[in-house]
Amino acid sequence: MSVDWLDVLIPAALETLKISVIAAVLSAVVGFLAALGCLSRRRTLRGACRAYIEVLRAIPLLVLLILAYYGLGERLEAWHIGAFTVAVVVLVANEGAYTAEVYRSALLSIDRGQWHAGASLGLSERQTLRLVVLPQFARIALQPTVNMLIYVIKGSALASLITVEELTLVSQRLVAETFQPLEVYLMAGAIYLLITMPLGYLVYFIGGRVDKRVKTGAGPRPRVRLGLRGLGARQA
Amino acid sequence: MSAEVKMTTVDHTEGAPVETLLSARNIRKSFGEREVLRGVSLEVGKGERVCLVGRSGSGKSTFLRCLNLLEPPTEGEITVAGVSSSSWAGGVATTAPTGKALAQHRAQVGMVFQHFELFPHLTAVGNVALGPQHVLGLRRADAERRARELLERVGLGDELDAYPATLSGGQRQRVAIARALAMGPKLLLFDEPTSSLDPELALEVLLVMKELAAEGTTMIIVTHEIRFAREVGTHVAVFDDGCIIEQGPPQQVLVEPRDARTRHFLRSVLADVPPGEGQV
Repeated sequence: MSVDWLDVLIPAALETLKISVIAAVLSAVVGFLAALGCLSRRRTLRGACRAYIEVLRAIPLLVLLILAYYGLGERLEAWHIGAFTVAVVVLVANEGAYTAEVYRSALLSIDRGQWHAGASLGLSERQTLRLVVLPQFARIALQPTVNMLIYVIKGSALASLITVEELTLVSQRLVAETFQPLEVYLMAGAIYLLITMPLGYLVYFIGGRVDKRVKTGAGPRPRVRLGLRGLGARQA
Repeated sequence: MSAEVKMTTVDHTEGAPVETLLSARNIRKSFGEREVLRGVSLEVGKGERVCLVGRSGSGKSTFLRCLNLLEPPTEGEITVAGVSSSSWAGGVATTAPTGKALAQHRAQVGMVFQHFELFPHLTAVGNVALGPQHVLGLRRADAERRARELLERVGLGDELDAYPATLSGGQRQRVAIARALAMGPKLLLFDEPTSSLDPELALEVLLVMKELAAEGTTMIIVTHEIRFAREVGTHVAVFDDGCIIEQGPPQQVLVEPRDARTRHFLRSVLADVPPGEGQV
């Protein structure tokens, strides 16, 4: 193993992180809006959101990526759209659909009585959403959202197939130069682990603090520990 | 708004007629094919305590939700003096408040729910201050001051910063009452406020309600506590199958009911309560 490997792998890891964070934030937004749309009183909106979720959940991410990048091919060039943008859009389209489904059930798990209580005070629907429902939703949605971010980080490896200079692609090139696949890929794997692992702890840290504050009395919850137990339990 | 409201009077209490605060005329409500309310009319005078009793599923709670406009009726008219008047026909509102006017109606017609429906992410003070701050437009500090005063009034001065999950059922319901009071309502609606509480905890809620009654608060209470209705109510209406089958002063309706269905209902609720118990 040589130190110059890191000179190429670290910028690649940053690229992975950049795609992932942008895609995850947008997925959360798209997912939330689609979840709200699914619960809308307007039938057409409900139908459109449902269709989006059903279709984009069903197509493999890899197919979607190749379809968008190679399928549109020259048109992308004409529109000056690069591989990075395609990767982000496809990740968001796919992950947004999954997230919408998760967020929808999170919204549904908030008692309808909460909406009634808000309305009974004279709060508008939008105010009730913002002041009453969203804070409760955030608590429920925190863990699945971080989970989603981890999926996006791992999913971003597929962007290597459409020439995005992220960690997986750069590792492949490094292997071609060094002929040391085991060492290089182990290192790439370790970098993925280093990126995703702290996120698991972040959930417990934030989640634990919120729980302490609200004290829902919903029974014991896992606490932050200095071992690997927290992360292992979450991925199980 | 108040200009179009006719000044009528009701004579539910003995003695001088009082000014009508709320009038509901011929309220009908259907959920799909099922008609839950079949033409309910009720007049409530200022300072009156109207108790709605009747079997589960007889439409009492739905009627209450209609009064707060949480559930728009299919047909009928609801007028709250000086606040709003609305009417519906064929499932469509002919005149009904929207936006700010709707918010004002709901703030002026406070509601206390069977399952409290406190906001779990807010403290007792936060629960009570939310409405005043975001609907009445009070500054946060003023809204919280009002909240603290009201919580002290319902006997929760020691639990100002407690989250709902750490409070007992009776305490939660008292926070809910303070939350409704914080909007300065003309009228309070109670939807079975003690049904999900142990008798002991129900008692502390009923005591708060008795105090409110003593202060002259106008209330409409859906309840199964017949003794409370007899003691605190000024008027009782008996629901059965989406209609009011009998109404009048509690002494008459609950002690010497005319309708056979009322007698049957009273026998079934009072059957398992030994004499003297459940009294407040």
